[in-house]
Amino acid sequence: MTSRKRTRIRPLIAFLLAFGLIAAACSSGDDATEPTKDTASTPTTAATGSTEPSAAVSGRCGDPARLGDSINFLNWADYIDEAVLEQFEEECGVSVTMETHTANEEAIAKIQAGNSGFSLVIVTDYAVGIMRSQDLLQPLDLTEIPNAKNLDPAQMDLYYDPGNVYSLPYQYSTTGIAYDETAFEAPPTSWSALYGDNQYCGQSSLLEDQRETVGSALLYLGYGINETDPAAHEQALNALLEAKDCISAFDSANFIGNLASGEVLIAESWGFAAGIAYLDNPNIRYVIPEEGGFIWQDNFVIPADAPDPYTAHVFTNYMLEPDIGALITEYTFGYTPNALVPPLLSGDYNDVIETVGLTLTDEIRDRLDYTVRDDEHAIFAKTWSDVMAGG
Amino acid sequence: MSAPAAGKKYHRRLLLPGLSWISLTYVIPSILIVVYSLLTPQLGGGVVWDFTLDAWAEVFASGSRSNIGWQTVGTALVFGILATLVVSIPATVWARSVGRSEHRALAFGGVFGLLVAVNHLAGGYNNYSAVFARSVVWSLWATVICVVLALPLVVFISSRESRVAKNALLVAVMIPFWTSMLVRTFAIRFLLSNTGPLNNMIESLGFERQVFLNTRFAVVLGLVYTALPFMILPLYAAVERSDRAQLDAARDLGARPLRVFTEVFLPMVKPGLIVGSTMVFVLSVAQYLVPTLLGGGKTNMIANLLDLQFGEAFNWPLGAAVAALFSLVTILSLYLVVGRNEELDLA
Repeated sequence: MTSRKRTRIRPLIAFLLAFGLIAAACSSGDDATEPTKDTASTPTTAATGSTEPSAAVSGRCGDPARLGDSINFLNWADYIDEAVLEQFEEECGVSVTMETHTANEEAIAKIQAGNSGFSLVIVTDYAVGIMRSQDLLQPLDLTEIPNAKNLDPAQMDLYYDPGNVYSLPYQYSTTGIAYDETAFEAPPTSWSALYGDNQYCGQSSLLEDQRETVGSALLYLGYGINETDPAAHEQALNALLEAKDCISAFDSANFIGNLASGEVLIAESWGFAAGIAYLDNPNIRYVIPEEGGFIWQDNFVIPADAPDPYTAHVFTNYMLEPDIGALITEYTFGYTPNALVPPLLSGDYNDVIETVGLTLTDEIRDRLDYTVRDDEHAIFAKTWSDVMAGG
Repeated sequence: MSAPAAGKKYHRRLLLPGLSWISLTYVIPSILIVVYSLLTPQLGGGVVWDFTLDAWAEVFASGSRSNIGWQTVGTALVFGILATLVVSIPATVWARSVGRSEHRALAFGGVFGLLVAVNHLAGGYNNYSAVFARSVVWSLWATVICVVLALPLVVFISSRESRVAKNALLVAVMIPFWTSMLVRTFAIRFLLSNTGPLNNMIESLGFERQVFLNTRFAVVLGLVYTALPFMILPLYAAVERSDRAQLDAARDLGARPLRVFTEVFLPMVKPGLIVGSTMVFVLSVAQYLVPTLLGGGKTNMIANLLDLQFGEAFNWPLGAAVAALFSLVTILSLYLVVGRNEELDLA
């Protein structure tokens, strides 16, 4: 070895190195998939009727004696107009602390861990089924949620919660294709625009989701989205590996911003997301391909270990008020399951829905299906893992 | 040199806090991981206590995609040979300089080349060994690139006359790392994107726009960018405490610059190189953020697959098996690099 010349520089290096390590450790944390905040520009908060500014507890606030001061609410990121939370606090005196998740699995994991402190959670259809099967939810007391009677029967009693014992619908939407109108001579009408016949390699994306992405490959191949036949999945795997060489990314986190900025010109997209992208890029259009698409629904659920189930019931009922429901739907660009909301929706909202192509006609509904996720459908995880592992 | 028995006992007791901490946070979870890898997955996460080897079978299963044509084999060969040359030439030069066997250096380059070739072939395969090979090979590339970038820089900083200038330059190396890695990686995304500054520049120079983001190139770039300071700092420490007089002596005695570099300089900074390379490699091979943000889900490394199994795929046993194998690979490579270098001074 060489002679060791001890210099005063070494403590500095040690410090820098330690600092760097700590910084690296701290920053490489969990949420890699940050939702695109930029695209969630404040949508039109339009005519929402008159919300009587009552200092005292109004009729929409339940029993003041039982109502808590605060509630912890777990919701999808960018999925509610914050004005709703403020209004609830003003009207009912309950301050809402909202935390957000970016995946159903994340929400399930939080509740699974126990003692999460959340009294009300919003998760998608299949997640309700999983949470129900793991006894993570408590039955809803519909006498505390009188507004449930306003809900559209078509959105009730679905496969994941027969009889709506544990859940009530919050918003629903679809999954199809969003594209930039100016990039296409003839609007795409088939999943082949993303598989097999993609004109925009490097400028297109598929969702990063095992059910919706493997599902869309299955649709492209002529199967249904809940197909479990191994031979069909083999084909879907190859279609996806081929698509992978062409698309720019599997992306559920940034595609809204990418559509808005023109970074991608065609993407597998959620319906509501196309509406949000449209606000920044008026050329964005949305289509449910002729092979079919997905319908899905987000729901209110109350965890079995919720600290304040009563306040959660009242808050749920509050969000099912027609004026509040309109506020929410105008923000999310989803569809409302509340039959009293559509007449209240602003002209701006309806214009966007119509222009983008989000109008949900009966003809389109016939082509949509809910994704089922249970032990019989475990092959989807396998196929998706193989796609992710591929080079 | 033997200490008194009582003293020995005393020293052993000193290990207790650290040892219990390590067993609590590392040993016990490691055992749990191995146990979990032998159980049955449960929908929604967690495991069912039915023993099975399914997860391990899955880890070692071969892929089902079989589109490896002659073109793939040809490019794999070319890449393999190139990689062999890139590694074995400097390795041989070094081996000669420190009087070690040149065969081992050549063999090292050969193994690297083979790995690169296999990785290229495996690129068409969708199994876990491909992901492992990919992670290891990319991390090796990142390490090699970091050495090439760091060496000249370190020599430059170290040869500054004033201490103030040295410190200022070192701090300048570290400053970017005082902002969140997430923010910096998003910045790279923006830089490389289809509509980003780099492509705007390329277009204004009259060329076609290129796809940079979500490619292997972007991922390796991200790995290098993230890990570079961890190469620079140990290397700088080694260069700082190396004996400059020996370099002068070699020169005075008539050695040509290349010979001074390989036979005097390199052996002196070897400990720094080893520490730096180890840190860069270990940091890179476990990267999650870089392949997620710069790879677009198309170029996943081991950590991404782990995340998938423990998250969306609800297959904890498979995730646990991958994690166990991953730990094993890391510990083995650390042992190979560090464990056998008795002369290595990690301080």
